[in-house]
Amino acid sequence: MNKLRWWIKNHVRGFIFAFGELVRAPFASLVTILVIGIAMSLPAGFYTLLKNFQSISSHWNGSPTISLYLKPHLIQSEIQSLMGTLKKRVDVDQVTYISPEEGIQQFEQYTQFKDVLSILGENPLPPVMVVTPTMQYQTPQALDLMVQAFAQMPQVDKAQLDVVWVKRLYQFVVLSHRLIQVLVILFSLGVILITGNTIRLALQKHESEIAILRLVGATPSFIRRPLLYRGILYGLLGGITAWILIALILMWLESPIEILVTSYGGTFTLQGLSFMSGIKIIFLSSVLSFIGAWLAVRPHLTAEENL
Amino acid sequence: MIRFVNVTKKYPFGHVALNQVNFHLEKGEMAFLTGHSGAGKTTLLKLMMLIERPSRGQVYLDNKCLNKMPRRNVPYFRRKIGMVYQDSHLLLNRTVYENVAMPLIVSDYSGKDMKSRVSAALDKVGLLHQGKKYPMALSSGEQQRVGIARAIVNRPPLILADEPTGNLDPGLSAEIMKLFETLNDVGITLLIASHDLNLIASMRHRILTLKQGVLISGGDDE
Repeated sequence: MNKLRWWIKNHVRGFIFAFGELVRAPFASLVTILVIGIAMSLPAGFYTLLKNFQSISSHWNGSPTISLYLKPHLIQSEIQSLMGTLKKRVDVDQVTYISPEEGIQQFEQYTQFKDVLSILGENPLPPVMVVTPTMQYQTPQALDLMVQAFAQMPQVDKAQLDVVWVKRLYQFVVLSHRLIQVLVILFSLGVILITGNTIRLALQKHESEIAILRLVGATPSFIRRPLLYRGILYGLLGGITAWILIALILMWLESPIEILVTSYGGTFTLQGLSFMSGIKIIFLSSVLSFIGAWLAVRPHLTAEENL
Repeated sequence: MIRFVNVTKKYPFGHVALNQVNFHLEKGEMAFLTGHSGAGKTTLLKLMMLIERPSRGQVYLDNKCLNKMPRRNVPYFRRKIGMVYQDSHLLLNRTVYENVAMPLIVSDYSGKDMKSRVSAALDKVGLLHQGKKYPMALSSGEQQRVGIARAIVNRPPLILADEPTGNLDPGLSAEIMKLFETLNDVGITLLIASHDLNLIASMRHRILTLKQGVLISGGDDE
């Protein structure tokens, strides 16, 4: 017979056997699938929330800024040319100029001191350029380099970065990513073990059947195939469960988060799991389940058989 | 068909199950293998099925030495041998038909070809119309017949049986043995392990007798 057709036939049959076994024990299968779903939804859900947090923090103008205190008595054209140079840099996203007059106005607004100028007699504030770096350059190292470069400029008196705020935010994001990585590793191991154990139990349950199959001339792959497909099916359905769970959790969290964010004056819509991320979850859980099933099946079928 | 040359099988911890066994079974022959429990009957059958490998000596089947057969070829090799057991080794959650069809499913038969072969095998053992039943609905004698149907469904040239009448009363045992004789009539070689001496003595076939792993009669040395 045609070798490819034979191969396809064997795999289709393995899949059908696996599906049959799944349906034959609906409750046990459901429990396994739910456990995989929950295990997958934790890291994936956390990741989605972190993504949302990052977008919230950018809505809040949480990006770090560098304030350049310029030398006093610069003329307008010098300020314009400085602005031009800054804007051309790849690491600069936005530049805002605050003249001493605007500075005083803002100061009056925030502090509610009236007529500061009339008390001081003269405006003590220097002109200021507020520079917002582009996203890629918001790491502490890159920001330090930028500040050094700005301080060298002849028009600049002093360049200052709100270091503490930036470093905290950055460390928080790094920590969250690490935490997600830890969760992904732990729960991936969990999925492998869950599927491995389920398949191991299935092997025990079908021990006499497998022994008979071997004695009537079944090849190891004939016996292995349905079990491996069963592992893949668990992972596939578990991944879909995880996707649904995350969608439900986000729906549940959406309105309280929105209220919280609007109370800080932000506008916000919760980002769900993207389609690609969903596919990734399903793929990952299928692969992990397959590994679990394979680990369970492998030692059993290499052992010398006895009836 | 089968040739044992100086076959010795030692299990771990030093137990010697077979000791220097020599015999030759011709194609189309039917022979009994007898001896007390633990005399080595099952071990001898296991060596032929390649469930076990000999410690020393050679086992030949169809003039091919089995010692050198790589593991991956063992499944294909087993399809050429029908095996019958003491308890019928049926799958209780499958129908009689499915049980008999199992060797065919495993060897890639399907559709019409499979159906006609299963029906022929069931007909041969007199259970043609019981295919849809489950094994538990059958008597022990009928279950054993299903086991035999499963052993012959692949049309193997050789059938090995390990105490096939061990659980049956004398009347049913005689029926099963007659069934084996009809299989022998169509040219199948049979080797049947049994300790039912009265029954096998009445049947006028060669008797190989094992005692503590040594073949004391029926072998080549006589």
